[in-house]
Amino acid sequence: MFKRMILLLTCLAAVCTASIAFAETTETGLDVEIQNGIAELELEEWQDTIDSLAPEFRSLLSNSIDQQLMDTAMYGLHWNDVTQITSLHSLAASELKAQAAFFCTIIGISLVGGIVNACSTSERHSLNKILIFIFYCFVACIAVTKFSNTVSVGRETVNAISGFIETASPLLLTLLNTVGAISGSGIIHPAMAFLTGFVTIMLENIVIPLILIGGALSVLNHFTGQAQLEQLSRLTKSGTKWVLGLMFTLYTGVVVLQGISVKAVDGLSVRTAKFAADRFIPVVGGMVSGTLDTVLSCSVLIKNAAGVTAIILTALISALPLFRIGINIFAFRIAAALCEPISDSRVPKLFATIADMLVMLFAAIVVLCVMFVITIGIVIGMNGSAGGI
Amino acid sequence: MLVFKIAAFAVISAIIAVMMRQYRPEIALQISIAAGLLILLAVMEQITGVLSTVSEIAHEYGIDESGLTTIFKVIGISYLAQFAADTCRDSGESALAGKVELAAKILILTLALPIIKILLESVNSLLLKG
Repeated sequence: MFKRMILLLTCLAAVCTASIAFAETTETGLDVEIQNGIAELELEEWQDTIDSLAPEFRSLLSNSIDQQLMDTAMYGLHWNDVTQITSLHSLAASELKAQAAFFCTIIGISLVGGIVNACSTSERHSLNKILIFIFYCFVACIAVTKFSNTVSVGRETVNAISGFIETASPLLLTLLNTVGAISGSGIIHPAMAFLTGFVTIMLENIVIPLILIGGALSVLNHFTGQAQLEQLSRLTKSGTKWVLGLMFTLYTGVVVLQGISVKAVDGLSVRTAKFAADRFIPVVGGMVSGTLDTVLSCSVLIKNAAGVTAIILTALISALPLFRIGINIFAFRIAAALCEPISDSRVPKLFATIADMLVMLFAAIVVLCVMFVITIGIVIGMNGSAGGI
Repeated sequence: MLVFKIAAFAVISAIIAVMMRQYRPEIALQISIAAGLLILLAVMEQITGVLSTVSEIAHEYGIDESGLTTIFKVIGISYLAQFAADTCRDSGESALAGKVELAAKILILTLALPIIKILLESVNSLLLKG
């Protein structure tokens, strides 16, 4: 009985180790294949992008881009580490603290203005009007400085994202070619060039100036107390909205439609290549077509990992500036809400208009990011063979 | 409480002024001016306290103190001018009151011009940026 049990256990152990060993060997095979694939890529610029991120964000990724791509390709994303979340939390807290001073300034000055306004003994003194006007000028000075700084942050972010797209696109195009999506890369190449060229230029030379003009108009609009530039101010705002919306809709529409239409063509050509290898190469043809399958699937894994990493990097590049702009929008809105009951109507209106303009800036950055992410989504979707390998 | 003192003082001075007005109107006017000045002097100490606290807060939160000083000066000018103009009006010299207000306005504008200039410059730089 005892001997039998030992025999059974030994057999069990043997089977277990064998299965584990088997699993390991196959995984190692894929491992090596993907590692080789990654080693052939030129990743210095991606590495530079990672290095230029804030340390809190860098801790979310692996130290080297090779490792990051490898991990993403093999195991997908895994962000369960509590310490990483905590570091993000502390980053957000420090950002909030940095913005709090400005927030206090604006609210404090408006409160003082409100108190003075309330303390002024009578309406008949025209001195009150001058006092309020000077308060308005003082508050507007601070608000305009902040607005201008925030717009500069936005402009830098647009440049940074556009720079990253320029960095990322050659690699993604190469990877698209390796999985056999030749005509797919023919679509994506002009799309990326359009993003870094036309869209960035439009954002820099039309949208951001419109936002700046809108901010300046809103200050001048309330300068005299009688809104005289209201319509012009609204025009700049709706103009910004239209330019952004049109660009986004057109780009997304064209790229998605083309992306769908070329998928089938690429699938056909890859299948033809496999079929040709299978049939026309004597003896080893079957093996060649099998190898072709493995190589293609590894390339697809690498391409998708690169795509996912590019999306994450875009998110990380834009996260901090977007957070900053968001806080500023929030600060202006809160200040407008707090000032409304106590001060005269100009200051809250100014704050509200500036907040609206900053929302446009926020939208411009988000639109650029989303356009890029959609493009990458299409890149990830292109497999070179319709309906999977 | 300072406010009780001030209230009592003001009411008593008003009564005396009203009583005196029947016999010597010019003395009544002088009484009201003197009472007004004394009330102002009584709260002067509080005002300096408020000023120092506000500028402390401003320093703490990094508010531009030169701008704040200008605003304080403007507030001071407007309160003083209001006081003088009210007194002139009480004594029936509304034309003089108007002149005082005009003078105050001019002074305030002279003080405020740098702020307005800075604002216009920053708006201009905003437009140049674009």
